[in-house]
Amino acid sequence: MRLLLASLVAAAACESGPAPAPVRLQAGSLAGEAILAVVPAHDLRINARVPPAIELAAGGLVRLARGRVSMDSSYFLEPPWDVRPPGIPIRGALRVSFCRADESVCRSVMLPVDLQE
Amino acid sequence: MRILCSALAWIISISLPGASAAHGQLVHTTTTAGVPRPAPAWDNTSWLNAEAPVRLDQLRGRVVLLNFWVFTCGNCTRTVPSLVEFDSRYRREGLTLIGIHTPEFPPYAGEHDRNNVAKALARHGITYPNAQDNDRRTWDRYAIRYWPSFVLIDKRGRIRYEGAGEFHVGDPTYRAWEQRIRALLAE
Repeated sequence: MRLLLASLVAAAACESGPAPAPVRLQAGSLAGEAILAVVPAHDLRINARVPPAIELAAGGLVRLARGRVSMDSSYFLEPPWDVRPPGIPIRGALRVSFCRADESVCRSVMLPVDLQE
Repeated sequence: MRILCSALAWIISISLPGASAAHGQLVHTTTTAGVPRPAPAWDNTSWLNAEAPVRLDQLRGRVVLLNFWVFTCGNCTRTVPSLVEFDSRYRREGLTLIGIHTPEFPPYAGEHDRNNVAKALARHGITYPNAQDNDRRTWDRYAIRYWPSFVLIDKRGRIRYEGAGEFHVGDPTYRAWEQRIRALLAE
């Protein structure tokens, strides 16, 4: 699991927009299942108390809440992930709460996402 | 599986304001041409730890510290002990602490739920009034960008200090806020 998630971090399968995004959504596979993971920039921590969610344009929600968290459950220690719902286009907005370690504040971001197989 | 991941543009809800960022803190003194601006009134209707909605005009003659926070924010909850300490030490001297609980996520995350806020208040020992700012109206009126943020209002209802960022009892930022509170109480 950790190797997979680490590989997701290392991979550069996603192209981001003109400005560097604080996080990116990546697709991968785990034990034959397709998964989605949210990969933060190297200096960011993703808030685990309100895990990332994809608000689907067609309606519905995909929460990405699996993954090890810090002792106080504040942050994910690895990219939060979950199994990709089969047969559903992952199109909509990814909402993530994250914190920069050097700022001591939380902030949130919304990214348009459009994953196609 | 081929991945087409299009991050078309990222929309960040907040960006660095014209504030100094030192030691992880975003703190600055707010004055406009030497004249502090009046604090905007708020009209939140859902309050906890208050028998009735608290209004700014009721607080003239008291120093008011607003804390914009949300219980899912670790930076916020780790700062709560400092705020509880301020409340304990300075309420009788004229400080009113008010939490403005502003959700970060839509209602599906549970941050809008009054019961969840009440549980968080109990969990963290918060006894000072807290408003639910579920529509972010007060957040917007004060042009807040970060969790947690702080606004210190003087006895005349004017914003004197604004800042953001976690701090802890006894640390330099705590002492700075305490010094500001004491200065305004003494005016």
